Amino acid sequence: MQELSLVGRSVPRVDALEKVTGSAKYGVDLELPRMLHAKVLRSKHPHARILSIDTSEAEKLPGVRAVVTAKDVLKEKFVVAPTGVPDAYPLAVDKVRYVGQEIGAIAAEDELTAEEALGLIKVEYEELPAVFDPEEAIKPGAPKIHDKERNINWEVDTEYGDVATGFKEADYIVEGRFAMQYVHSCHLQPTLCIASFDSSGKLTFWENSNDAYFRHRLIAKALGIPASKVKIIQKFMGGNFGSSQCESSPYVITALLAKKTGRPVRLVNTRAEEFMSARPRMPIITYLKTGVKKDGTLTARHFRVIATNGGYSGYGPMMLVRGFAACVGLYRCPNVRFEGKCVYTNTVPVGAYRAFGATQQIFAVESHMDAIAEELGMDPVDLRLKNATKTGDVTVVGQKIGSCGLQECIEKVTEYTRWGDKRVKKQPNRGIGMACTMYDSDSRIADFGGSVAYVRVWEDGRVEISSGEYEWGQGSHTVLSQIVAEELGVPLDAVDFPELDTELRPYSLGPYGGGRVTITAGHAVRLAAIDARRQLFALAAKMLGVRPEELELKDQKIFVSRAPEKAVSIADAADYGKYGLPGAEVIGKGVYDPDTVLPDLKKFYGNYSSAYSFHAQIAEVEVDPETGRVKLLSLASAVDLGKAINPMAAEGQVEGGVAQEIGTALTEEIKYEKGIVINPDFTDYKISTAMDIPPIKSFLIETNEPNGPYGAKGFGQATGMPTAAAIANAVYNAVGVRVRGLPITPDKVLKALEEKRGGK
Amino acid sequence: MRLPKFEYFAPKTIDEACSLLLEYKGEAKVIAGGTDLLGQMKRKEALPKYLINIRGISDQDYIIHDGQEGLRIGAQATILSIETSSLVQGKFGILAQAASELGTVQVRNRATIGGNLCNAAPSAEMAPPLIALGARVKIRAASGERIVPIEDFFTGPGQTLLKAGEVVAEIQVPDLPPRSGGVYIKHCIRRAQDLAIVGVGVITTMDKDVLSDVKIALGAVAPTPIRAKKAEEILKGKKPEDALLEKAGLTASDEASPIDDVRGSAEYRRKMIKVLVRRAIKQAVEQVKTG
Repeated sequence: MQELSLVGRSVPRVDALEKVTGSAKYGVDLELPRMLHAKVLRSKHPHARILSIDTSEAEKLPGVRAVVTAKDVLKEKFVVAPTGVPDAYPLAVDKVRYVGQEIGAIAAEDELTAEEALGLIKVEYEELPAVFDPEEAIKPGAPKIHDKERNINWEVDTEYGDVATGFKEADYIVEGRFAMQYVHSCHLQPTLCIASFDSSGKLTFWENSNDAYFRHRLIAKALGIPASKVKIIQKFMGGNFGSSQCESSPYVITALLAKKTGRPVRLVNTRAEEFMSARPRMPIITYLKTGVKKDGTLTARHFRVIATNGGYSGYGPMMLVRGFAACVGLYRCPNVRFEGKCVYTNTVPVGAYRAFGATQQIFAVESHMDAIAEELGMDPVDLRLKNATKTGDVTVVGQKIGSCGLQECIEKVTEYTRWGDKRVKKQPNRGIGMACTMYDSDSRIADFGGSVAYVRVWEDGRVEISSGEYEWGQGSHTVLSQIVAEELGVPLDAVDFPELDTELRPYSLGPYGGGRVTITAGHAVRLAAIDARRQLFALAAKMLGVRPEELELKDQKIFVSRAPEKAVSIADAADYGKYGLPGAEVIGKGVYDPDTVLPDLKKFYGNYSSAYSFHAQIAEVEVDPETGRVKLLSLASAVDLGKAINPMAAEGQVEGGVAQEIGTALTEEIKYEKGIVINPDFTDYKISTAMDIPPIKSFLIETNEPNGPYGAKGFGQATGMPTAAAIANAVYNAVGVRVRGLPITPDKVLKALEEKRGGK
Repeated sequence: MRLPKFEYFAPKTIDEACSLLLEYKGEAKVIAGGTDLLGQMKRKEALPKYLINIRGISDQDYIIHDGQEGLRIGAQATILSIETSSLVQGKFGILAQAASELGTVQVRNRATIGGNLCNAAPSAEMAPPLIALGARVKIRAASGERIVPIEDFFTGPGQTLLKAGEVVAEIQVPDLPPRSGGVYIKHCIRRAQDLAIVGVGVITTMDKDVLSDVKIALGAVAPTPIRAKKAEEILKGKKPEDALLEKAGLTASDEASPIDDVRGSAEYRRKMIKVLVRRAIKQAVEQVKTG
């Protein structure tokens, strides 16, 4: 095995200094000469026909430079996802389907003028009956949101194994309904884009999404201009978590305004706009039915899943199925049926938020496991261990498990929290609960699921990574730099990672579908660095008059193994390659495409990810039985991540993920009244404060994944997946009530307690 | 979000501020810390044409004590200064406690006691303890001054009995009799930086093992912060036994008129009043016992 000096070490993040000193430049910091400011006119009604739009008064307002409406967009329906149902336009045509939908936009000399002009646009609506609840929306006679018989934009019913027989073999059948609410990732930097055309008609675009290359194609198509005429630059990103990959209107609108005015245009959402329109996580109702033998063996499972898709399809179908797949492989069960529906509602269209469709369904799966254990009179830990997936398994949906530390994760957290003692010697109103998950490391979502990178060695010995993989806060630039520095034997601070520019950097998928950057781009940059090293050795061999095989690399020097005094520096070798020989500038190329398949969404089967991370969490709570308030006391997490390339950064991912999902579990919810968001601010949309986060203990379990660089797998997206179920299970253990619809608010707990007391 | 346009004044004296308020009556707003007002303006919930910044008036930021009026807090004393004042902590702990639960430290550093009261949110943190303490508000106008009990000060959500041209100058809190205890319980969903679903402030005074006086004030359960006088009557002259506290809690809950809103349902609020009034009185009595 290779001896490692940088990989596996807790080095500070390469962008830490810039970020903490405030010198990092985010998209919102960018000012361009003659830049205009855009504001969006949004629908006031959840469902209405647009009879007319009169923009004449707005256009006359001094300072207004352009107004765009439906008449400015190409009349071809599109969908932002690579697979999905095309049903949207960048600006509403004829109809609006949620409050907040973009109807028009204004570019003006300043934001206040743009805002004032919005008030001068006259829209005549014909209000239509609206429907908000997905289970109402699929009933016959519900208001039709699109020109479809039913409000279902997509559905699936697929069976693995023989479910009927599986249920026959069961001693018990346990059923439950679980629901996750509308939550938003609340990335601190709101939706942002700046668009600017140059005199040749080329569009430069600054934005903060995590899929610049998909966006690149989409923008070119929506504007009807060639792909080579669009370039996207990615500044420092103030969070995202998947939300903006699922949205396209703000970007197209900004570009349209820039085109119309011939000036740079900047659009930044307010927080209220973020809540009403920037894509929140898809709410999912999961009905679970599980057959189980007396000894705890699972024999059959039936998932019936209903998703609130909002007004437009977007990534809904893909999230539904991939979320299911990510959850179902956690436990062995040969017979599974998955029925899913994505339902149109007159609410905001949904998007991704950390663990694509899976966090919702794992809450159901893991709450349900606890209920099954209760039914069997079994310890929930034993039930999980009994059915836990293991290394070498091929799961019911075809996932090939190359490494699996699930059992070790479960054992680690139970031992640390003294689970057994606490379950037996229970203190009043205190509870302890467990939940687990697995998740994809690099889920394939396109025909090319890999990564390409170049590594250039400069004549001063500095190393530059050229990759389109982006840093959105997860620490990937640090991890990838560590890998390159490791392979080239240079210190970490000799590695540069210039900003993303779709014109200059090779195509990349970005942090998309799984935590794919570490595993996929990790391979690509490693191969590029190895290629660069090979080129350096060839140059050094020439300079020293030896064969490359006789050379070694250490401390930025290439030397002859048997005569270490015969040496050249990396810098000298690179200098020689660049200036001394024709076409020998040191630029290594690395291409990596994992051995995975792109499954069909309707018959989802296949090994779509080259590895899977496993997680176990235990939450401890104290419940006030008179107020229903849940106090989270502590949380322990164990994560099988294959290998921690940077343990400190890995722990940060665990703490961040858990902190986010504590909010989902206890306090966060986008609340609607007749289709209008009634808490579009941080006063009443309650994300956790530092005071709400209990001590978090994390264990990193290394299982040496055969498909990962240095044995590592992607895991960061999934670190909060089990949190809500762990807390819900702890609440059940504390006071004997199960809250099946998140968030677990005091009034829900109190109501459940009253029902329980009344029932006795 | 940008602030809408407005005209700005920075008077140097209270009289100047009062005459500006009179001149632009209905169209002007007083700004001190701005922690409530600026947010309202950005959200277009308040659109004053004129902003009168009173922070330049120098003699309104004080916390003192005198034999006659008791504790005197200048309208422009910040919430943080109340939270950290040893004078307040020593004799009026309930006030320091309530102050420490308002917003964030950044907000407390800017927000003033006058602003918290004049904003007149039903959930205003400082109102229940001040009502329970029997505080008075000194109001200034160009024509003179008047003093009103704080429980009469609030007239509706966001509304007070201030007339055009009037500003709050001072809050006066009478000294408590010996063997008194005070507790404020803020019930909210987060552990910090949150608004009360229900706020309960109580002051109890003991004579031997009997409650010789009780004051109960409730926040966020009616259009204004209110006093639960019927509940007080139930307790006065009695021993604070569990069954009685339960009854007082229930009565207080009947005195409130909570609504369903984004923070909680009326039903849940009523239940919480019952629980929290009982708990607050128990804790306050405990305070007296342990000195």
